[in-house]
Amino acid sequence: MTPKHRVVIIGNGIAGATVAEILGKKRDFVITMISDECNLPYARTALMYVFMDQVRWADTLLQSEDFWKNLPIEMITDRVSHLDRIQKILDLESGRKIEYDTLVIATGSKPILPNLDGTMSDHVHVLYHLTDLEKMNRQLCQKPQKAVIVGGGLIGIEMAEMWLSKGMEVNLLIRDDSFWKSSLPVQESRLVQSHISCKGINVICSDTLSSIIYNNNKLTSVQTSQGRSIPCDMLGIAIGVEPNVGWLQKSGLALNRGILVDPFLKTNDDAIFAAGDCVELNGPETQNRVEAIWHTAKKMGEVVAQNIMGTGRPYDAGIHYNGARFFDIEYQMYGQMSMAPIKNESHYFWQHPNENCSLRLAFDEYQQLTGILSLGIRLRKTVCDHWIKHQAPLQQVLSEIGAAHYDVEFSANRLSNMVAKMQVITKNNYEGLYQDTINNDVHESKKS
Amino acid sequence: MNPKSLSLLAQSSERTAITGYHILFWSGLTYQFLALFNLSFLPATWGGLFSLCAAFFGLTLLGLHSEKQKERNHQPLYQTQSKSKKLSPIVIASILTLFYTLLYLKPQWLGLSAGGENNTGLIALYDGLSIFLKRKPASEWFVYGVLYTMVILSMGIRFIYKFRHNPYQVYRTFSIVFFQLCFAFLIPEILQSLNKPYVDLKNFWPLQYYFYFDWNIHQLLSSGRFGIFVLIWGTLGFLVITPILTYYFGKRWYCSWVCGCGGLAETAGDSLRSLSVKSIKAWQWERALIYTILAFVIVMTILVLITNTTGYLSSISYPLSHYYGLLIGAVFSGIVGVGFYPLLGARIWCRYGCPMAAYLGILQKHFSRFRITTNHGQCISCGNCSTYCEMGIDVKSYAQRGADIKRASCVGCGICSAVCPRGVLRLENK
Repeated sequence: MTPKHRVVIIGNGIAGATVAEILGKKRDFVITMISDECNLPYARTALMYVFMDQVRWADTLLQSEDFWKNLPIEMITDRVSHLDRIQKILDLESGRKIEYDTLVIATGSKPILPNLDGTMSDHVHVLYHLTDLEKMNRQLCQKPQKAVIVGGGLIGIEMAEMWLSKGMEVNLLIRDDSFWKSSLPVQESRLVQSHISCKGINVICSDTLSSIIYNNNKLTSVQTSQGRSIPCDMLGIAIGVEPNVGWLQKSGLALNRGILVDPFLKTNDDAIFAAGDCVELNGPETQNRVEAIWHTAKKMGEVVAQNIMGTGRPYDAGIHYNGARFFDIEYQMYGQMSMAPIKNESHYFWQHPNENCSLRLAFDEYQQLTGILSLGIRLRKTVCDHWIKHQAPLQQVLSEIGAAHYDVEFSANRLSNMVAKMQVITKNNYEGLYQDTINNDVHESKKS
Repeated sequence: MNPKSLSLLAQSSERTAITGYHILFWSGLTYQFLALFNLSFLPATWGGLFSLCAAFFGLTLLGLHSEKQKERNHQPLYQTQSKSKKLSPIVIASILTLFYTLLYLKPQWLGLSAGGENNTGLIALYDGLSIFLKRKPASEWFVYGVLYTMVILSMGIRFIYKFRHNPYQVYRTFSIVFFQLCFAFLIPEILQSLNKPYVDLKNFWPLQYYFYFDWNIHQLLSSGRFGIFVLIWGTLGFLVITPILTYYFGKRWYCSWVCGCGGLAETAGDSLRSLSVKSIKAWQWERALIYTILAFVIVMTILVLITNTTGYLSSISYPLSHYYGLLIGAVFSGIVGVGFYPLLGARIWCRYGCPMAAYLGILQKHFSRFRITTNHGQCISCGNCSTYCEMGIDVKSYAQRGADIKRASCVGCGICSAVCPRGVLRLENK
C-alpha cells in the first residue's frame, strides 16, 4: 500500500478549515492543521457576539468536536517557525518537525497598526483573535469609561457596538468625510452614519490619529491631526487588515502584498497552495486583488481542496457578494458599482423617508444591471446573482424587482412598492443631488 | 489558552434597581403565597382579585421596563446568560416542580375543599372569579388555568414589544395569546356555566389522549348536539384539518400559533432558548422518546376502543390508560415539562414528549411545503441561529452549507431568522 498523501494546512480559519473538511471526507489524505490560536476552527466573524454574551464560544465552532474526530485530521496548536521547501519540512516552535507532500497556507490577515508610538499596550485593542477579546475583557475589569475607535469600516463599527453594549462612551474617528466611503455611496454612507450617531456614538469625520498619550503607563487621551484632544481610557484600532505573510519573507515564495498565486491558487512552488485573506491573485485579469472576505476565503478553500484532489478548476470569485450589519441596519452588496455614477452609468436609488432602509440598483451604459446595494432590506441571493450574471436589462429588473424580496413573512414587499419612487442618479445630476445632501447636513447640524 | 474562560472574566454587571414594578409584582405574588397558609387579611374574593391584578400588571410592566432598558443600554436581543439572575435555576425548577406536584397529587394542600365545604387557602382566592365565569367555586385546575393564561398574556405582551419590528413574531404571538385566552380558558369555562362539558376545541387527539376514552365519549354523547359536534370536530381535527394545514404551513401552524404548551414556551420561556441541549445524544433521546410516546398513544387508544365496543382486553387497556395519564399526562407534560424550564429550556415537552408534535413532525418532514431557506451561502457561521433554537436544531450546519432546513422537530418559531445578523434564514411555504 502506498503511503497516503500528506497535506499540511497552516491556519484554521474558514479557508483552512474548508480545505480540511473537504479533503478529510475523501479519506485519501493524512491531514495536519496547524493553528497558533486554538485547536478547533471557529467563526471569527462571531467574536463580537461572544464578547456581548450573545453566543458562547463553543457555539461559534464551524463543526462540532465529534465531527472532526471522525476525520483523519490532526489538529495542532503551535506556530510554524521555518518552512523548508526543498525538504518539504515545517519546523514548529515547539521543536516538532512536520513533513508534507502538499502544503496549504491559509494564515489569513493581521490588523494594521498605525505607525505611532504606544500602540503596543494593554489599552490599545484590535479585533481579530480570541486573545484580543481576552485583552478587552481584562481591561473591562478596570471599568473603562471612554473609548476612541479609529477606523470607519466594518470592524470599527463592530467594536463600537461591542463597547457601547458595555456602557462605554464611544468616539469613532473616521479618516474620510463620512462613514465607510470606500464602499458606500454618499447617501448610504450618511444614512448609516446618522443611525450610528442616533445610537449614541460620537462620530468624528475627516480626522486621523496623530499620537497616543499615556500618563504613568495609563492611556489618558489621543491627539488627532486636526488638533483634537480626546480623553479616553481604551483605544480601538480598526484601520484595515493586511495579508499575514511576514513569516514567509525568507521562504522564497513569491510575495507582493500577499502570497502570489496563479488562477489555480498555486504558488510558485508546485507543492504549495494558498487560500483566503493571505492570497494575492496574480495577473492582470484579477488586478492583483487581495480579497479579505469570509465568503471568498470559503470559496478559495473549496478550490484548493479540489485542486489537491486533482479535479482541478480555476478560482472564480463569481458575482461579488458582501454582507455586514451596522447596529440594526443589515447591509448587502451584490456585483459591482461605482460609488458615484460615471460616464453613462445610472443609479436607481430609493430611501425610506423615516426608516433605515434603502436600495440602489446600478446600471451600466447599456442599461444592464451591474450591482445592487441594500440597507435594511433582505434580498434573495439567487435572484440578484441571476440578474447580475445575465446582465438583466433595466426594464426587466424594475418590473421583476419584487422577486428579490427576502424580508420576514408578513412584512410588506418594499421592493415592489418602491419602483415608482426611485430616484435616477446620473453623472449629470449627481453634483446637484450631492450638494443637497451637504446642505441638509449643515442644516441639521445647525438644528442640533 | 482556554477560550471557554472568555465569558467567565468579570463583566461590569450593573445591578438592576428595584422599581415600583418589582414591588407591585412581588406584593401580589407574596399575597398569593401567604394565602397558601391561610394568612390572607382581605376577604378572599377581593384579596384574590387585587393580588392577581398586582402580580399581572407588575409582571407586564416589569417586562416592558426591562426590554426598554435593554434597548437603551444597547444590549442584544438575547444573551446566553442573564447577569441579573438572582435565584439559581435549580431553585426555580424546584419551586415549579413542587407546585406542579401539589397540583396533580395534593390539591387539598392548595386549599381545595373536601366535599361540599368552602375552599380555603390559595384556591379560595379564585372563587370569586370562578363563580363569575361559571357559577361554581374554583377548582385547582381553574387556579392553574388562570395563572397559566395570565403568564402567557403578560409575557406575550413583553414578547410583542420586544419584536415589534418583526411582523411574523407579532402576528404569531397575537395568535397564540388569543388561542390560550379564548380557546383554552374562556370558552371551556363558559361552556361549563352552560352545563356543557369542558372542551378545549383546539386540542386534538393525540395530544388530548383521552378523547376516545369511554368516559369522554359517554360525556359527549350525553350532552346532545353540542357533544356530537365536538366528537366530529375532534375527529376531523386530527384526520383532516391537521394534515391540510401542515401541508401548507408546516407544523408551526399548531406549535407556535395555537398550542398552549407552545404558548408558554414562546412567551415565558423566551429568555431560556439558549438552554436547549444541542448534542447528538439529545437528538437520539428526542427521537426515541417522542415516537415511543406516539406509538403508546395509538396502541392505548386502539385497545380502549376495543374494550369499549367489545368489552375485551379491559385488563390491559385500563391500566395502560391509567399509567399514560399519570406518567405522560401529568409527570412528563406537566411536572417535568414546565418544572425543568430553567434547566433544559422551554420546549422540553414539545421536543421530547408530545405525541401531537411527533405526528405533526412526520407530516412536516415528508408531506409539507414548509421549509427554512438559507439564501445560498451568505452564512458567516456565527452560531446565533443554533444557539437560540429552542428545539436544539443545529440550524447553522444547514445554513453554512446553503441547504434548506426540513426537520421534523422545527416548530417554526422564526427566532433563528430574527437573530441572524445577515438575513440568511427565511421561513417559507414553497
